[in-house]
Amino acid sequence: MLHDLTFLGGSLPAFAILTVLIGTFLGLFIGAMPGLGPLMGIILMLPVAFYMDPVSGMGLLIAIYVAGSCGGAISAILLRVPGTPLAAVTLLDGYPMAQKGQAGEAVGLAITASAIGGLLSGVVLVFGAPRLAAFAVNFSAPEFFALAITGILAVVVVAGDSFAKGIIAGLLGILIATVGTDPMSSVTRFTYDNNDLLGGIGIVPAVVGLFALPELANQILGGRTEGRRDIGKFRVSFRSIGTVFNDKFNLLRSSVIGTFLGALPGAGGVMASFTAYAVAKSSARDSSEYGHGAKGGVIASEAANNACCGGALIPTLALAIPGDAAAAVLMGALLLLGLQPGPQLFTLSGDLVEGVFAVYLLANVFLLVLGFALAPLFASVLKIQNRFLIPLILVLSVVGTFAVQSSQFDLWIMLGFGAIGFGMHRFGYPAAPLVIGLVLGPLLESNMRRSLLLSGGELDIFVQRPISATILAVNLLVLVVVLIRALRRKDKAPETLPSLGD
Amino acid sequence: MPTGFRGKIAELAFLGIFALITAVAFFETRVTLVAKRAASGDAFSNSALFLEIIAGLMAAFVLVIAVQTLARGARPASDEAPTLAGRTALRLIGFVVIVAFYVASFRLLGYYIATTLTVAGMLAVMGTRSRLAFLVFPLAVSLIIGFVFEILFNVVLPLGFLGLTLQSVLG
Repeated sequence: MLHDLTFLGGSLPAFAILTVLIGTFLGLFIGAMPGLGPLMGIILMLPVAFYMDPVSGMGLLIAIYVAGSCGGAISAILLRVPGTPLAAVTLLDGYPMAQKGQAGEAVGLAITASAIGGLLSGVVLVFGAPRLAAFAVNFSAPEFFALAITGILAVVVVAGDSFAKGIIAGLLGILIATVGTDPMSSVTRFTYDNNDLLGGIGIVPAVVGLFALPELANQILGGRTEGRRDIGKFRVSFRSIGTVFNDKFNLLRSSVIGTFLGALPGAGGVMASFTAYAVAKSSARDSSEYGHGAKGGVIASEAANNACCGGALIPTLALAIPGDAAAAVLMGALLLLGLQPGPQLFTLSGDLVEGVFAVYLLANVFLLVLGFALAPLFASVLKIQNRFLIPLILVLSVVGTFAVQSSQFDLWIMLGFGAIGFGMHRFGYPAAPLVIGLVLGPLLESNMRRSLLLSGGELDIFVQRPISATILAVNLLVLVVVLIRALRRKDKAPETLPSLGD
Repeated sequence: MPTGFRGKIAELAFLGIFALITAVAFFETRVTLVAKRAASGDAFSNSALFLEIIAGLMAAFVLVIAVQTLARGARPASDEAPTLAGRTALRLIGFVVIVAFYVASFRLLGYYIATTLTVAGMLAVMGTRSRLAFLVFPLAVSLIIGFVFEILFNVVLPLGFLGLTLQSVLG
């Protein structure tokens, strides 16, 4: 029987512990399935979380985020197919280890490094986020306006091969966020006498349509519906825990890199795992092992990509600036649960914030336990054929979307976003900026208009206040650098960057 | 990404959707909100202010992407790029039709019938031939997901013209 858990002076409800356990299981399952990932898991379970208390709901989603970020390593190691883009670096050394008969040890290293990396970033989250929120508590409309621009711009910068396409996706998200009743003047916009549109476009139909439906269509388009994957038997080696702790400097360094890049809006887990791997390789005694089964490579990439989760939660909770699409959906979940992320969350709902910290740390502990106990089960999940998985995900998407408001109209919205998402994917428009735009759009508009009200319509309010001026200057600098790089890249090798946004 | 001259045309056609959305946004700010007397005044009462900026930026970037697409040569055809041909295209069309059917029939047929038919249809589109799979899988999916939402989360799923609920299905 589960009991409430005391943490940071508060108590974590037993139901929340259960949802974290279920979320960890689901996250490992979804992460292990090639083509799916933590974002898809969070999106599919978002409507379920809606029916829970805030801490339990966030526990479910955060656990999926944490475990899903690690689950991809299982297929990367066993099949040389990263379950998620986050595990792309893990396969460089994980798969060669499996080829040498060390699959169990490689999976053990990935799970241990992920959990420890996640826990270390959790420490930074617990101590860093409240301080950042305390610093930001005196921010007013101009600062939040500038920060919202940073959130959108940062994701656009790294989201895909075309800056213009990223920007237009973000702008579309912002535009869609204006549908419904204007919160300031109560005038309706883009509603066309349709009562279903008065409350605006919901985050759930939008993200399910944008990500889940195009993914299913792409699985079909890629012909990935048939064939069984051949997975050999293995057992996770407990020796790997010792191996990870023996490589403590690599573990710590990679976790710091992951936390830092996770907290930086737009950077994300893929960049973190690549960076941590590169640093680990360059500082290794024998770098020639890297790419041929170096244990340090698996530790570096997995510690970094899971540390990113904790890092990404820092600006999401403290500043309401999500670092990536998954964090944006988590922020959307908080809004759905009736909570407004940002500095006020820490002052008005301190218990909830502590609950979120607790479920994040607990998810990493459960990741270690469930990962070791059930890794062979998650590996066998890889044998499930997509022809069964695709209908299942479709039903979950439709029922989940319907469940939030019992609205048939939301299903049509989902379908519309599915068509847009498919087109965007096909023509190289990243979907992540659209989601960020959708989530940050209301924040951007309300803070811009509030600022103008404060200044009597004068635009110089944004540059007169030092913090807002600094943030805007950094945004401008980033914009200039990106434009220069884009122009230079055009002359050399166009469109070679992988899309990190999705 | 689609390649060749046709790909370029398709890319421009897709960009046309963004142009259309931008035009709709401008119509809203210049016509609809003006008629509602909500397109002027201070930042509090001017509901068109922010929209106008976003629509203007969108128009600018639509133009940038159009120029980029026109100025760039057609993308060379790649062997790796998935093409919409043969059985795959049929499966994709089947998928789209089934999703549309599911959404359209969700309330009318009710969750249990619509889901069972949809999952069976999806299995057929995916090329499943096993009769056992056709019999068991659609029912199992609809009952398990129905149980989670209807019983665990108390969601009222559409009953349809037969008024089916999980309790009535299981007797």
